[in-house]
Amino acid sequence: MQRLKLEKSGFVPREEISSERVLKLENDHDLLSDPVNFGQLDVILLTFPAFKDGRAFSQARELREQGFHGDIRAAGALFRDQIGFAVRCGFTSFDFETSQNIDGLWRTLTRFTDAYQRVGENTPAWEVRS
Amino acid sequence: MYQYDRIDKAIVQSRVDEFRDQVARRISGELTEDQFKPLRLMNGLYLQLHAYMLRVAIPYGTLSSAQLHALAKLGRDYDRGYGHVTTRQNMQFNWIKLSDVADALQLLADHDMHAIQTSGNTIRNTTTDPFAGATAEEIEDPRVWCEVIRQWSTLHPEFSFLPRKFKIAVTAAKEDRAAIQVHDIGLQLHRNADGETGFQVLVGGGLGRSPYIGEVIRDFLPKEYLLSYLEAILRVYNMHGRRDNMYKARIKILVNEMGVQAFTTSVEKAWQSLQALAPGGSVDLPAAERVRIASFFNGPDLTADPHGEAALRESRADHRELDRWAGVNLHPHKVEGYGIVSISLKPVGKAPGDITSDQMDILADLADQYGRGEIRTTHDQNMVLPHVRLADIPALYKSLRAHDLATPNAGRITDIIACPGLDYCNLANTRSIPIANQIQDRFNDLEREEEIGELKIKISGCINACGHHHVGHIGILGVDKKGEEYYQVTLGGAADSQSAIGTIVGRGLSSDQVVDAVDRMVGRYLLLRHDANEKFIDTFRRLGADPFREALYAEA
Repeated sequence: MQRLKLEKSGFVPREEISSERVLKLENDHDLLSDPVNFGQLDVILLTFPAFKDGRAFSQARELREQGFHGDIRAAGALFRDQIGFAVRCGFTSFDFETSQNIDGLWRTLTRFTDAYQRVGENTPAWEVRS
Repeated sequence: MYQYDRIDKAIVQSRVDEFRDQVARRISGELTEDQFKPLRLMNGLYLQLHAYMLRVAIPYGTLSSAQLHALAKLGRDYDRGYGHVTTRQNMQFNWIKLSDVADALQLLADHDMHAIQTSGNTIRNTTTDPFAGATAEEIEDPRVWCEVIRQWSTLHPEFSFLPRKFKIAVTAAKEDRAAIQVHDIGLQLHRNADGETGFQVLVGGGLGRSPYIGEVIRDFLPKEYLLSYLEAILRVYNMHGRRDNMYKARIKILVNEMGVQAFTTSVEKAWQSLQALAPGGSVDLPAAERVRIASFFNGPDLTADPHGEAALRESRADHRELDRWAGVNLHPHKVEGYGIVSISLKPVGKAPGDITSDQMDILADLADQYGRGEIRTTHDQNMVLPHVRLADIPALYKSLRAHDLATPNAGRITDIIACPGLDYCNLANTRSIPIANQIQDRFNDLEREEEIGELKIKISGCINACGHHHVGHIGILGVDKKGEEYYQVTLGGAADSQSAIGTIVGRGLSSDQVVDAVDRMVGRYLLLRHDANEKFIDTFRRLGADPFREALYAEA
C-alpha cells in the first residue's frame, strides 16, 4: 500500500499516525439519511472496493457539504486517472492499493485548470466568466 | 448556436492531451487493459467486433457546417470515408485505429467538438428535438438547457463512475421527437398555471432488457433549479443504484425497486440539502450565466417571406418527384416562408444512418447556401436542415437528389431505425442491417409507401435494444436460437408523447419469414383502418394486437 497526502505543492508520503481518530465508513453508507457525528474525528476513511465503484465520491462531497473539515482518506482501488475527481470531491489523503507515480499523479491533478461545476471550493466556470 | 469560449476550449484541449497520455501509458504497460477500458470509454472509444469504434458527441444534435466538414475529414482521414448517425444524435466511426484516436480527437477539438462521455458509466450526450429553434410547437428553445446540462455533466467529479450509463433528453414541444419518456431522465418544458415555464421531470425510462416508460417525479421544476435537482437525482442514483449486476444497474431498476414515491422523497430530500448550500455554495447557475448561454440560441434572423409558399406550390405542381419528396420530408417552420427539411439517411439498400464523407461535405455546403449553416442529427438516424426558405426548396432538392440525399421517406415504413447488428457489434446475436434492407426492398414503391403513411419499424440485433425495437410501431428483435437467427416481432410500441412498450406477439420468425410477415400485417392494417388518416399505430391502439397477430402468423 502507498500512503500519500495532498499538500499545496504536491503529493507527499504520509506516515501512519497512531493517535489519529479515524472513522471508517462503509461504502454504502448514505450520509444524507444517516449522518455521522464527526465532531471529534481527524480522519474519515472511505473506500473504493473497485475503481468503477464511485459511491465514495458522493460520500466525500456529502461530508464536505455537511461541514467536515478534517482529512478524508481514500482507500482501495482508486488510481491515478481518477485523482482529479477525488480531490475535487474533497479527498485529501490516499491509501493506494497499487503504487502510483507521485509526479504523474500531480500532473494528472493539475492538467485541468477549469471546471464547469461548483464542487467543493473551486471557482466554477460561470464565476470565472462573470 | 453555442460558441466555445476560452474555458470550453481549455477543458476540451486538456481532455485530448490527457487521452494522448493515457494511450501512451497503456502502450508502455503502466495502465492495464482493465484500467484503460473505462478511460477510453469515457472518451467514446469502443472495441467492437472488427476494430475500434469512435463515437463523437454531437451535443443535442446541432452542428455548424464547419463542424460537419470536420466530421467528413475525420471519416476520410481516419476511417473508411463514412460515419454513422446514432439514435442519440451522435456520429460514430467504425474503423478507427487506436494510434489515430488522439489525432482524431484533436481534429474535433480544433472545431469545438469532442467525444467526451459518449460511452462509459457516465452522463451521456443530452439529446433533444431536432426541430428545436425552428418549430412553432415549442414554448422555447430546449437547446439552451441542453447546453447547460452539457457543461454541468462534463467531467462531473461526483458522477463519472455511476452504476451504469445515464441518458438525459429534453423537449419543449408537445409532439415529442426526442423520446424523452424512454430516457433515464426526461425533461419536458411546459407552462404552469401562472404562465411560467419550467420542467416536468420524468425518471426511470429506458429500453434494453427491461423496458420502462419514465415516471413523473415532479410536475413543475422552476428552471433556475435544474442543476441542483439533477444533482439530487444523480446522487440518490449513485449511492443506491445496484452495482452487483450490470443488467439491473440502470436507474429504472432503482426507481422500480424503491417505488416512485420513496425514490421521489429521497430526491426531494437531497435537493433540499443542496439548496441549503445557497447562495454562496449554490450549484445552480446564476441568472447571468443562463442569459449568456441562452443568447447563443436566438437563432438566425429570418425575414418572413409571404410569397415563398406560393412559389413552392407552383414548383411542386410542375414536378411530381419534388412534390412527393416535399410532401414527406418538408415540415412547417415558425417563420412564414420557411421550412424544416428532413434529410433521409435511409436510401433503400444502405445501412440506416450511414452518410459518406463526400455527402457530409455536400450537405455542409448546402447548409451554407440554403440553410444558414446549420445542420441537425436526429433520433431517427437522419439529418435536418432547420431553416430553409421555401423558395429555395426546388434548388435544394435538385442538389440533394444528385447526391442520393433526397430519399422521400421521412417517418415512412422504409425510414427504419436499426442497430449496427452482427455486421459490426460484438454484443449482437443477429444481423439487423440486412433485415432493414429486405423490408425496404419489399416496400420500395412510392405509391404503396404513401398509401401506408407513417409507420415506424425499429430493429435490434440483440436484447440490448440499441435499435429501440420496444418502441417501434413494429419492432423486430433478433435472437439466436441454436446458431440460427430468429426475429421476434413486437407491436404497438411508440416513443412519442404517448410512449408505449410494444407487445410481444408470439414465436420468432426466421429471416426468410419476417419480411412476408411484416407485409401481411401492413396489408391487414390497410384493410382495417377507418380511412387514410388513421395511422398504423392508431389502428393498433383501437383494435389491439389480435388481428395483427393473426396476420403475422397466417401462411401466405
